[in-house]
Amino acid sequence: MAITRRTVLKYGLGGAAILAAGGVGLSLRPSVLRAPQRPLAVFSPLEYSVLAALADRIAPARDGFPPAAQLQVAEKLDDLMAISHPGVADDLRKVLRLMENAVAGFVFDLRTDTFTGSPPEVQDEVLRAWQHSRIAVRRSAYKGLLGLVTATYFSCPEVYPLVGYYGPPSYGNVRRPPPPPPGVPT
Amino acid sequence: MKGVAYTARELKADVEVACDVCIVGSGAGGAVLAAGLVERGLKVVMLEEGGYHTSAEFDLQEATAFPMLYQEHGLRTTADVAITILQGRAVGGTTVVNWTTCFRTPDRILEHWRKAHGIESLSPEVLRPHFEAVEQRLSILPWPAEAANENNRVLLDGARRLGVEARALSRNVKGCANTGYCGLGCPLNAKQSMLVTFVPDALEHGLVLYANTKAERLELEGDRVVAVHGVVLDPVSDRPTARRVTVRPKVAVSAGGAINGPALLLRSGLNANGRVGKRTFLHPVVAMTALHDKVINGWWGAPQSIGSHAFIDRGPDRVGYFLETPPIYPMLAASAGWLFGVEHQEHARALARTSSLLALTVDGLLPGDEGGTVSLRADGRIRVDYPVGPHLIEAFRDASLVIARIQLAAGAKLVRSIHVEPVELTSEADLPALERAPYGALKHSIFTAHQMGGCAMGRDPATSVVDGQLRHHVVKNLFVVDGSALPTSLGVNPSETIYGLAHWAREAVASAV
Repeated sequence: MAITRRTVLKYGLGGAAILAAGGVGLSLRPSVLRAPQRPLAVFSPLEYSVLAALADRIAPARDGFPPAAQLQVAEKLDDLMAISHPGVADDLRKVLRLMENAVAGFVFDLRTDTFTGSPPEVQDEVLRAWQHSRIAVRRSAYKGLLGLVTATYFSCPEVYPLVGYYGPPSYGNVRRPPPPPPGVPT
Repeated sequence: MKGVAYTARELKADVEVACDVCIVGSGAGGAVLAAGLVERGLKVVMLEEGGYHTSAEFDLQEATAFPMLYQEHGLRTTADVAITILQGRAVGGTTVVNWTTCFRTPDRILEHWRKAHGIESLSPEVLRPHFEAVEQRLSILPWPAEAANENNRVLLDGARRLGVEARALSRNVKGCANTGYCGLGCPLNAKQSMLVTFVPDALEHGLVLYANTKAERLELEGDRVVAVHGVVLDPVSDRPTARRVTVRPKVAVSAGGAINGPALLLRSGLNANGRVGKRTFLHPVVAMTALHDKVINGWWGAPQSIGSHAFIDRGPDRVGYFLETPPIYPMLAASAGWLFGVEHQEHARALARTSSLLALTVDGLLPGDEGGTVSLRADGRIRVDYPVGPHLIEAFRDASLVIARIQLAAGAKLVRSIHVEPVELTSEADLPALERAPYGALKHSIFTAHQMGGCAMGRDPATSVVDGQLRHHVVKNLFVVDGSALPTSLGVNPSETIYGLAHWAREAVASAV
């Protein structure tokens, strides 16, 4: 059965995925895993790898811009998820797994490889497909992922000089020790 | 009698305390109210889910401030991720991170509330002494136009060249050094937020404050709140601990702000008429950026000091809007758009020469405009849905065109929309492309820094949550004193309205004890 956007819209994501899985034999390359630079609290190795691959494309290392890995973007997002409601991390995990899934990729974008197993130019095409998707949920997912990665990347002081930002002023008070233990009469 | 502030570090065991008034939330509503109640000799307990942070911790880094001082660690959005929601979470609430702009409630809004929502209790005359009192305490004064930073200068100069009204705004600051970091916590305590004004005032006179303590639910017996049940949050993981704070008040006040306030009532099963969470208004914002030959450095200087209300009343059946400016911090700016990769980086490189203007649409005034809805997800998270309808879309389009003209008139060499596919303009000849562009949810970026409604005030118990005295229609010892009580948006920045309402509400709440 031909898998078209119309099919996807008609049968929904789950149905289209089943149709795709039962169709022509897909050449699925395995996921390419990366090792985090420190232990993770929330993400699995695969989820981390997808996020790290995404960060490389959203904020590529070029012309002075440091690699996202150097700034530990994916690790910092793991930190953020660790203090967020578990449901937030669950939602993010689902999106990362969907992006990695070659079957879903085929259904939506005629892509036969996993995201982490795809070359950079294909990964960029995947991102563009999500960015411009007619399916609002994909645009929502794209906006969420983009916001997380860009916010983490561009909040790193290492990036400030590249965007012409000289950083915040330094006041002596930021180096003071933490306030006295609350609970004492004010 | 002096009060006391506890954070999770001291709360090693369960706490149960009786009091006259329990206030949930320490922001613009809760703090002003608390200060007034303790002055009257009442025993007041306040619960605040955020941390008790001081300027000593405000290092002006976005990576510090957003997780520490914003709701959901800076990740709050509508359910479809179409609208980014900036809302504070700390002792002092959103006032710790707002951009200091202050307006009294417009007369026309009070008149609309009287006519459309039956609110006879509020008028300019009634509120005047309360606004005067908070203006004095918070040093709310006009910020001189000549002190405007370059980003605000774009609005002032461009508007004036087009003959559009624009003027200096009032700010709640004292000794402001023009650092520009109001949104990340003032490092000098120059911003007269609740953190450095009404919260310490209340503590000086006996307030008992529990920070890192989330009010989970109100316990009811008949038509009265008999307890407020809170859970202590771990200040590092932000996860609930096993420790509980139970407050048994004579009067309870929901002051956790729009979104969190309605959610507390929903968790408490207080939604018999189905109106809790409804009429949630956001002043949905559409923004444009512009590239200049000159340096803007939009992170420096009072972030919001010039505004225009020239388009606030666009006639019947049209949503009005007002124009203001945001700070241009690298993270906030970089994460605002839809581009990625090389193209995004090249735009980011021009940050120092980039200006940005905002149009804040005035939702909730047109007949049938119900705004958004706050509800609870199955896993307990708060859900915000906000449909972007045709009236808002028309306003977004019109406002984008107006902003572009102002930016061009101010000398911008390139104006850029924040669409999925940005529209770029170098002259007014390019305006038709901006007009043809798609508008609406997930077609361009939309923001909100003003959350209102969800426990709307009104005369009719069938269509509102609290009455004209901010008292719950059914639960007689429950008040809502925060932005969630507003039955519409305001058409101005809401903080002073909430300060004024809370100052006015002190008598009614005290009388209910």
